[in-house]
Amino acid sequence: MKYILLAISFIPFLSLAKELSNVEIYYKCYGQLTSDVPDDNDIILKAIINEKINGSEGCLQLLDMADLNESGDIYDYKKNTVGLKILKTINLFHNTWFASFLFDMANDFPMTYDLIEPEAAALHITKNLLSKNIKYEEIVLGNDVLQGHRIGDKPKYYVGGGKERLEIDYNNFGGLLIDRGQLIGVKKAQKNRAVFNKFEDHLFYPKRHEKKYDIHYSPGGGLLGENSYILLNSGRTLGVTMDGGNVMPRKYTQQLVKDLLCRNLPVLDNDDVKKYVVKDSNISFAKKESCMTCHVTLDYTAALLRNTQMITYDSGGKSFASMYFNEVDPKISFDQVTHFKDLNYYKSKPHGRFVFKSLNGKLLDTEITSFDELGRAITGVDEFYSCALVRYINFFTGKSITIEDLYLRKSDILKGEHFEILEKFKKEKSLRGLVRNILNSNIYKNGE
Amino acid sequence: MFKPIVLFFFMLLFTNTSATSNYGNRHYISNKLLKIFGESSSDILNSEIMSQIQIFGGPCSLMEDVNQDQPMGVNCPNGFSDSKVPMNSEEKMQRSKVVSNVCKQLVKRDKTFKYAIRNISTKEDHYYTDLIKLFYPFSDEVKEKVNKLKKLNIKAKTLDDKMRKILELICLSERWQKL
Repeated sequence: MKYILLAISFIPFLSLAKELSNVEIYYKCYGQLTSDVPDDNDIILKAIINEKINGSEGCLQLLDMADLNESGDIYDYKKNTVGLKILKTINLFHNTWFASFLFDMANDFPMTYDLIEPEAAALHITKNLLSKNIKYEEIVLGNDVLQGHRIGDKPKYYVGGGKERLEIDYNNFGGLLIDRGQLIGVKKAQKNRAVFNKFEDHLFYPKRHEKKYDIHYSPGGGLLGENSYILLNSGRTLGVTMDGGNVMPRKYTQQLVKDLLCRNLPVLDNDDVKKYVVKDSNISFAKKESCMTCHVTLDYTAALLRNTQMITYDSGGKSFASMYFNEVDPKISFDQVTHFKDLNYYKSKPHGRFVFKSLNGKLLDTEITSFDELGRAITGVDEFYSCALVRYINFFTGKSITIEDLYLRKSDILKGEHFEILEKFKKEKSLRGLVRNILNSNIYKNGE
Repeated sequence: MFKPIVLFFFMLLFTNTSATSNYGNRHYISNKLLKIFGESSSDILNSEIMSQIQIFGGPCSLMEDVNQDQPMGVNCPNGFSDSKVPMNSEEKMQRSKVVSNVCKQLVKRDKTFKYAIRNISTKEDHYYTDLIKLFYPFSDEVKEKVNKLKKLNIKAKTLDDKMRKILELICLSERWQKL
């Protein structure tokens, strides 16, 4: 009985929120950024205890410990264990932004995981956060293909194959394998180093094609054009070519809208799609406004990927898959989306539209003729910034807010400070600045 | 060691006094307990905490493990999908059950218990504080927590046994698991 009375006497006190002390703020951000607790001899912790800096300043100094040098590695990584822990945690977090993890037909082509970086998209965000003087837009611009720089003992196995396959299958590709082990930085894959001379296009009735392709090729668009990102999200299986009708890489659009803009389709209203409805199409969805509220966004962006095709080096198994960009035949020309099936569609020059209505009511409808143009179009959408904000706020505060909460101001968790941070981010376009502003905010310091 | 009702109310005693509801994930909980109980706790932490990815949250990288006997290893016990689980989990009931089980095992095992108390004073005025500080190193409520622990009037045949009981109670509290 005495324990019950004792506990009850504390209940009113338990529900009271309190402002975190400087040391508690540092302990909190240290745990979040490193998934660990600071050592007693932690220099920043000592500075906070001695009141030389406050907790928020300590958190910002901690984040700076994970700066990447010009080579893309953590500064002084052999000694900088804290920086390495931050790099690991942050990249794990960024990797959760991208929902897809299974390369299509991974069972048939297990080596894909060992030749094409499965965390490439996350590494674009990680590099952006931990580099200096870099705009957030750069994650969707340029043709850098990124890989994790990892170190460790020689692996006992590879991701896609068992231990026993190591010596048999991987010798030919030894120099091209993705690094395994502890992540120490982000590196650019070398162009023209992983060039192959043949591919096959079917699992059971393979046709061999004698064509060159570089698995480190990117058409631009930062992470959007990465072999890895397209391969994870195209939704089209081995050998399939796009026909402009039913067969289009729609999953790609659906996924990028989720991954980078935190939205689910449809994002358009019936009024927005009237001009895109094709009454005499032989494709049923193209005739209906309600269907086209999704299909306009899906299909017109997918039209940019019309010449992509999933191929395999060797359909006999123990092989890898890659995306292949078919050459354009100048004699063949098709509109952005045909809504009529044509087997030559994939040979026409890729171009499409990005059609997206933001939660702030702004409709974007712009032509895209390259992956960089797709990237630029995406950066023109408010959600490009607010999606990152929502993800980081949830990570650092533990509160669950959605992007809809933010625009419709539904959640009682939201404070004016959330919007101030968002406006700053949109103006400065710095992901590092966003994280610094969150760590320095009352939302964070008060645990609110 | 304790009656369930006592444990329940004592866990409340150390419960959240700030507004944050962010539980540390499996990596954080495991690292924190490893620092307190030493390397001899790693088998318990791996089997009870690191394997419970759905309860604790905390994704893995497939590219990291190179020396596990199983391709997915300790970090990705369920395979590829574990690289996409949330950073943190708000699951409470099962977490509480797992942590309770882990605390009991760590306190019961001599090697881990001795490691935890290796720098703990044997003076009554100090050991309550020292034990609390293992889990709450910078709490400004240590004195308050000591007084509450003392009011429980914990009895044991030896000082080690008493410390085991106190350490288990503190380990069972919830606040140290939050960030």
